[in-house]
Amino acid sequence: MHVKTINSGKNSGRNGIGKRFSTAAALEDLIVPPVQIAYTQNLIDGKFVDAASGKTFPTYDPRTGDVIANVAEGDAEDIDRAVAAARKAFDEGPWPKMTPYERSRIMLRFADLVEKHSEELAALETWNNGKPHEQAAKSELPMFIRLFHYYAGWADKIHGLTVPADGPHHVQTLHEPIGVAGQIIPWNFPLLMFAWKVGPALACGNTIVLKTAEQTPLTALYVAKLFHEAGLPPGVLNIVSGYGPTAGASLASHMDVDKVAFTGSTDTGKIILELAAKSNLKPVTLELGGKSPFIICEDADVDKAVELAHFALFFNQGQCCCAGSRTFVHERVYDEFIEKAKARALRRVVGDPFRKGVEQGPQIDTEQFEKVLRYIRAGIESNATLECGGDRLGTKGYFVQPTVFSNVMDDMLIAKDEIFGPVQSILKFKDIDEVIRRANNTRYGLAAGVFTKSVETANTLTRALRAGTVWVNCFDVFDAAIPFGGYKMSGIGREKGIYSLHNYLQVKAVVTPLKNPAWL
Amino acid sequence: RFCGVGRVVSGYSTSAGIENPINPSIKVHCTQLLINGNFVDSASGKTFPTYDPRTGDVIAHVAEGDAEDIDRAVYAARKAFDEGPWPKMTAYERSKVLFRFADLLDKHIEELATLETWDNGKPYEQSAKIELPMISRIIRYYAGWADKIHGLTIPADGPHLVQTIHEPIGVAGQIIPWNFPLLMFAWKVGPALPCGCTIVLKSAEQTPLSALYAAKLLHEAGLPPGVLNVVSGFGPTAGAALASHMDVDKLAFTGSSETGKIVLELASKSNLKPVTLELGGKSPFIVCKDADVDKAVELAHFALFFNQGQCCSAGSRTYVHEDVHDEFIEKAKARALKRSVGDPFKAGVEQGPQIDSEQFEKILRYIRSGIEGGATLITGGDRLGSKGFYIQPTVFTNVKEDMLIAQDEIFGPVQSILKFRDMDEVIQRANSTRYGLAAGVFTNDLDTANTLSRALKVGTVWINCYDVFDAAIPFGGYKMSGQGREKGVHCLSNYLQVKAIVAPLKNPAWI
Repeated sequence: MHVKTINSGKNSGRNGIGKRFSTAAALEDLIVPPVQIAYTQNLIDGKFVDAASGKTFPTYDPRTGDVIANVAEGDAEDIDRAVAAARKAFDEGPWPKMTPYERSRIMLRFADLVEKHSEELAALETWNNGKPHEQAAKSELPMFIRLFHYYAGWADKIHGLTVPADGPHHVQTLHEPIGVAGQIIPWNFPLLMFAWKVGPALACGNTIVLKTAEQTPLTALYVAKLFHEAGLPPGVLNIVSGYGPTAGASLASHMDVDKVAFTGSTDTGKIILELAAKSNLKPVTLELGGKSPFIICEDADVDKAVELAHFALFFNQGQCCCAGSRTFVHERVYDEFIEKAKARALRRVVGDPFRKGVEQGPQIDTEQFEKVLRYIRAGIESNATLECGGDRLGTKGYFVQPTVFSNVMDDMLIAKDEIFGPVQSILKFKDIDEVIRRANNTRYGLAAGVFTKSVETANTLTRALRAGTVWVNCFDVFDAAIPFGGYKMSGIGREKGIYSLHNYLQVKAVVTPLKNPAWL
Repeated sequence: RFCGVGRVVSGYSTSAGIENPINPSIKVHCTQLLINGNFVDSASGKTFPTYDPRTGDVIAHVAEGDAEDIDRAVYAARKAFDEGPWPKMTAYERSKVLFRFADLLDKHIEELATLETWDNGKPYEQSAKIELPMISRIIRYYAGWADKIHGLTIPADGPHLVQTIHEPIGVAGQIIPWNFPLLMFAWKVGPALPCGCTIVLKSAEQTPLSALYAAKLLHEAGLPPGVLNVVSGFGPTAGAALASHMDVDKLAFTGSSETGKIVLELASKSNLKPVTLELGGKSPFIVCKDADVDKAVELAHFALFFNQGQCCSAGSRTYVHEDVHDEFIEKAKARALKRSVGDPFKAGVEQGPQIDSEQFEKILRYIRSGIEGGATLITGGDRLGSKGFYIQPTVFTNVKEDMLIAQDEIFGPVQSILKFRDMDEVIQRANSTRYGLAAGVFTNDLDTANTLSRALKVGTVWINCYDVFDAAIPFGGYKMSGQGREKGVHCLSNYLQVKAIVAPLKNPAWI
């Protein structure tokens, strides 16, 4: 597969700096993934089935651009079938009518099965997504299991309230499952996003039609199979692989879907909300893009700040909605920071994600790869200083050099748009009021990082930043209990934690007169 | 213009006063827009008339806000939010402003209730004795919330200190309807202010007067300028500009489902502001076979006819068990015939005119469609008197689910009675609608009450009561009746953003 690049694959770099990455070895000599692909059909009503049209689409290995497998391509008709199955499983049960304890037991058994199959799942995740295998196996799979333990524990703890009335009335609320949930997940963390979506919906007693990202359809099918082995009744969780404009749009606009949750870009999020508004007014939860500031204050330990800012941006090939993609550095430590950030980026180990010690694999696909390279060009053309990187790495697949820009100004495209790649933009600031104003001067509001030793600085910044998560002296801490979501155009609603349950519940008030009032 | 259907036009107990309306004892003072603490004309200089529904005569000309006025109001609200003092004041100070406001509302009950009845047509006794006390009660309820908005501390898996703070969401756009102008003002403004938000509120073009008066009192109570801005005007101009404004952080709307869809679409096309919607309904009122028929008739009558039938939660499908059906319809007819319709300023009047000529004619169209659809008209069916927008209390029996009058929200004094045989059947029929706002259940059987309250897919179930609207009880819809809940603890989250704060614990203590 030929991919257009800036420098036709050579590592010369237009500024003569794109060399010296510690590892680019391994790129030409790829490890064969230790896993077979068993499931490629849609999962509807407990059965793997072909698409109604019989069509399939290829899914690729981002290391090479080679086809891994051909997957059943769902469209409106498959969504209809999946919704009909989910509707029946909701309206007739048994899922919402089972005791919450029984639901929690199935979720716990599922977590156990995932643990048992962690190796295959991590291999599949890396093969389809390109993320380092160590990250998939040691960090993401355990988090996935932990999330299902967390939500399994919620199933039997969803309480309504009794409500104090002004007169002789007995008032209570029931928190009921909302119904059939449509869920659309992205490609950057296929399994984790599955857990964030499916976990709370099932604990609350809903049924689900989940559409995976067309780039990464494989792991969701695998775990959904395990879920059925754990005892999930047919029709409760239906998985449709396919594309946004066909399968995704028909899910968002379906008249029998009671709720939609979407994670992806802000542009697509707007379309989803519009489709929901035009159809049956289903409530929508959105987790969208970000341009999160990472603020290094003047009192920071520079070495630690460099490492954390590097992690905040480059983690997962820069493909995080909450990536710390605007690194604001106080002028007193700015020069030292740049030198060390550049050195750290040059040390970043890029290579075959199946190899031990590799920190960075390829970008997800040719579209994202070329988009990232276009943004790098835009950075250079707008006169940001390219400190290192700036080009592709190797000649095949979608590897991009860890890239650092300094002297970035707020009005440059690379400081405004979500790049979703390994491109760090470093901006200088002078005082705290200024950095608050600049950090908030964006339509996004997903997350922020603050690096300081001062309690007062930390307190001021955590209050002042308009973002759904503020990480102080840490970044990307994603415990199941911590709510995550965006201010402004980064989204609507919160996932994880107690807050996520509301997305999948309806509140019903029940009011009745007290004819013979007791003492209370 | 109007062509009556009048098959049954007969002895209503009162239609007195309709031809000679009482002159309201107050003057209209506030007719301009309220922006940044000042009453101002609209940017265009335009005004629009607001009418007395008893006569169709003009009460006053009101400044007509459009996109430019919304811009100015949002600018004022933005400034008041970003620079303060409102969100930066202590919560206690905010609560004191609201408590003072409630006291002023109590002091001005007579003017406010008069204004409300004059502009809306609802019985004065209802305005003065029920709605105004509810409004000051709701404001005191929310005032008490201001200093009780807590975040959480969160158990982390590792050595991290995790907390959430619940922050005001910013500038809230609020669009309220004409059926309960002041109550809807309280439901919207009440939770937004204690949370620390600032507001641009658009009132309904049919009833702009009482919101302006109440907003003036709120400023007298100490509200800083720019915190609450009130723009009178129409939906397609002022309302649309508010819903699609890039500097509005939140939108709350009460109105029809059709308009709710447009509002949500405008929010999604602009800046993805979260939207709360309270929309239409076609709520079932289910009279079970064990019911005391006299009491059931009275409650079902109230559930539908209250406020001229102009309630989103109106019990507009009266399901009656076959064992009591025939007795029920006789008594329901007698009760409707006894309903006293007349000048809402007269003591003892239960029903005034509908809000305007558009609604009036829409209701008469639905009555015609009921007759044409084969339902049995047992009383009412026509206008009452020769001026204004009065309609006879109307009762249909033999109504079937596929008739328009059993499907659409009529929003008028038209009761549709449907017969049912068993519980599973009535559950299925009651739920077979796109709406899911409320339901009434009339039974003395505990098992029946428990089953129905669980089975009905609606946001509120009233058992042996109806339209109980305490401030603490959440209200809102399943399905296409809306998104989110108002009132009670649930409504606060509409006006809050949740921020998670995470920091490492370097030297962990014992916990």
